[in-house]
Amino acid sequence: MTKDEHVTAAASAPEAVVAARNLVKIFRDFWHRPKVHAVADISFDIRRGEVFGLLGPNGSGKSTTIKMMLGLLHPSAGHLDVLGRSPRDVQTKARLGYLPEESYLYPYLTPAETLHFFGRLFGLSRSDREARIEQLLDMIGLLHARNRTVGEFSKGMARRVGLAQALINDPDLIVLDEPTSGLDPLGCRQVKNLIQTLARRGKTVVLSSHLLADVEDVCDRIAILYNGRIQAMGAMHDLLEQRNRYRLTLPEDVPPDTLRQMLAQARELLGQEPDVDHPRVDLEQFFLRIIEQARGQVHTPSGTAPTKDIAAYLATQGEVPSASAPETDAKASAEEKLKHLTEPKDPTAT
Amino acid sequence: MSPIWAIAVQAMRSAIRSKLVVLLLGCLFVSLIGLPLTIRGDGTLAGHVYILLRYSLGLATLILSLATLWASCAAVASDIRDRQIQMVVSKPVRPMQLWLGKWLGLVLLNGALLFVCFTASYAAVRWITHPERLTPVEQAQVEEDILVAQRRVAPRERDVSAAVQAEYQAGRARGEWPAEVATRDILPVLERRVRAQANAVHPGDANRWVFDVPRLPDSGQPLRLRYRANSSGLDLTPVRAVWRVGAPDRVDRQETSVEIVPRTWHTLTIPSDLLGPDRTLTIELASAPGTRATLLFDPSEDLRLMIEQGHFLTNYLRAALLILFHLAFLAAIGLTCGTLFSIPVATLVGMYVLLLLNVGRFIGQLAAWEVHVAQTPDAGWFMWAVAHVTRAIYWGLNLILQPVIAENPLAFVAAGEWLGWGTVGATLGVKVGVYVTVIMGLGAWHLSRKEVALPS
Repeated sequence: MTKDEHVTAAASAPEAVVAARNLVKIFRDFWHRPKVHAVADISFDIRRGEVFGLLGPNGSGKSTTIKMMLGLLHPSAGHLDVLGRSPRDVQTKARLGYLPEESYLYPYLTPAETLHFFGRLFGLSRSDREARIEQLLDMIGLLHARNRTVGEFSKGMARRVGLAQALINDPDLIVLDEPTSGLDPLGCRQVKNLIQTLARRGKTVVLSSHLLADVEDVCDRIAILYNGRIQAMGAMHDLLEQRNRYRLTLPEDVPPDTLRQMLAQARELLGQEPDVDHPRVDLEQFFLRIIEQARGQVHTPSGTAPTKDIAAYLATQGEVPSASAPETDAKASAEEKLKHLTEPKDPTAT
Repeated sequence: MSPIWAIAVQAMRSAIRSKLVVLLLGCLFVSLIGLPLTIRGDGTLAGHVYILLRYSLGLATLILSLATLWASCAAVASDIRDRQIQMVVSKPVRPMQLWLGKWLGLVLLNGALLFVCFTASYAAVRWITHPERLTPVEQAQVEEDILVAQRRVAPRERDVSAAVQAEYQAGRARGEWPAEVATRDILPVLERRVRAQANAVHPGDANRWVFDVPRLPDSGQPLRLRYRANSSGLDLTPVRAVWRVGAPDRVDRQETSVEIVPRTWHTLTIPSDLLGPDRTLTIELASAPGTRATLLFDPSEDLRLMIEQGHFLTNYLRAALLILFHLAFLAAIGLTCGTLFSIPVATLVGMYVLLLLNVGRFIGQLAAWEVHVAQTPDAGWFMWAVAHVTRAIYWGLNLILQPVIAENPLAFVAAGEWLGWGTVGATLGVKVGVYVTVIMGLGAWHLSRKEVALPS
């Protein structure tokens, strides 16, 4: 996408929570000479309620872009609005939640003290803080470790505390830098579920990752950065969909004779051999199922013990926090899917 | 207030749990207990109390000063280095709140440690001055000279300008002054010489001083003249003399014969009814017959009329407050250094500032001196420029340092001298009200512009 296309697309987007225009970040040395062009003239919009992913290899400018959105770095050129204001405005920060790429927590504080500390920075009342902290500690599975100092924690446990502090103020915009880094598969799944739940509640989530599977699972739109520039940007399914190919999923236990007949017809109609194989669950789903079975048999003596996917105050009204993964859109009919697959796409959509 | 308090509490928790406070308490304990056991005093009770208040407590406050400076330098700089600051400044916290929170935490922690030191020291003083352990003479000394808070009044300054001028003219006539030395450099030297002469008591002669005595809280309390002198004999042989207290025309003038040991403090008790109607007190020191040594006084330092002004404990608490204000001032310097530089550089700069504060009086003298090299024709333009730039630096430093340079309050308390609430208020206003505010402004301004997530 060219620079002009970026600008046009960004300008036309409604209700932008984050609006970046021709953003540039140059790191300079002691003598103020340019050292690294970390971000080179990028423009994008992030809309309310969407999960936006920033993808790219190490050093591509993801974290720098995120840090500019948080006011931790200042753009060298260009313009950046977050929630309609400067990222450095305290009113913007009051509506933000941030999980950095590593959990930069005070090592001498316990998880509860850490959350109280950050809750106070948001001006939350004591009763609000106590209620939220209880739910958040339950959510991240650290209720049993609430009196240990964070310095004693493993990376994954500290990461969970970092995640909890990012949510203490029930933010409108949640910025997660490598959110699944250091987490076990259970933790990763929990974070992804959390992101999806927050998005359903109308929260905007920006996440940066180089773990493509994580991004694919949760993001509505992505931007792929390389060498400080956006190389591709758009809705996830638009970018990944192979629009000239189709996949037909049959119900379970189709008789082999029926399948043979179908293949013969397909061969005759298409004039070539179609691919047939057994569908596979992905490794994550398989792992989670095994752990779920094991959890019923073994008591977890240390580490994390998650009981809820999301704190009650973060859940949608009427939504019951549960430990299960969200259901996929399995109820949509085959006709609806076919209709969706065959309808022409809006070429201007990003 | 909530973010400031949250940051303050976090700073205190971290200091306590990182064992910094335990280490400090250990050092303070050693200085408070160990020093009086190792330093040999003059053997007197007053000397013992003086060591405890001046040196033990002084060492404890020095340790606290250095620890405060180091901890404050690290407070922000380590947060930047370890990146916790990214978590804090991405919250709705203004740079000034962050700075103030850290500062408040350090001040409260220092306040607590200072309280421990002063309480321990006070308990020790009370223990060694307990009436059951003292003779009646020592008990009287404790009540009159040691555990007291007395205001110090210096004698009225004499006008010596005419005598200085006369001396100058005479010297000029004798050709004593080199032509290249400016008159303004000669006159201060002459003034010191004339003042020394005017305050000397020569053999067979007498000298007189007048004190303007402020209104006393208790008019019946006797006054005390504390004095010391240098002798022309240049040794410690006592010099006999007679004090005459009261105006010369009074019939009830008090006469007291004394033996003055040079360079040693003595006390003369004066009934308050010898004050004149205009609240002046005239004292005269006459050389005793047969004495051959001249007694020399620096009236601003060596003659002190001490007036009971309040209780020792409240004086002691005022000294503690003054030290706390100083620590608060140092914490401000350290914090702002920590926002500007990395920990080692900030600590170095902070220590340099502490050094400047300790040599502030010397810098004042340097700033006041004339640049002689600039007036020497063969010095050259380079030396002229160096001299003027250097002097400008001293002048600027003196301008900044002078308002915050103060006498050590422990010296006052140890000497039983009164520290007024006015001093406490002025120190609070200048050191905390003005200087801390300006330093905070600089630190907060820099923090607001600083990119805290720059790659290291």
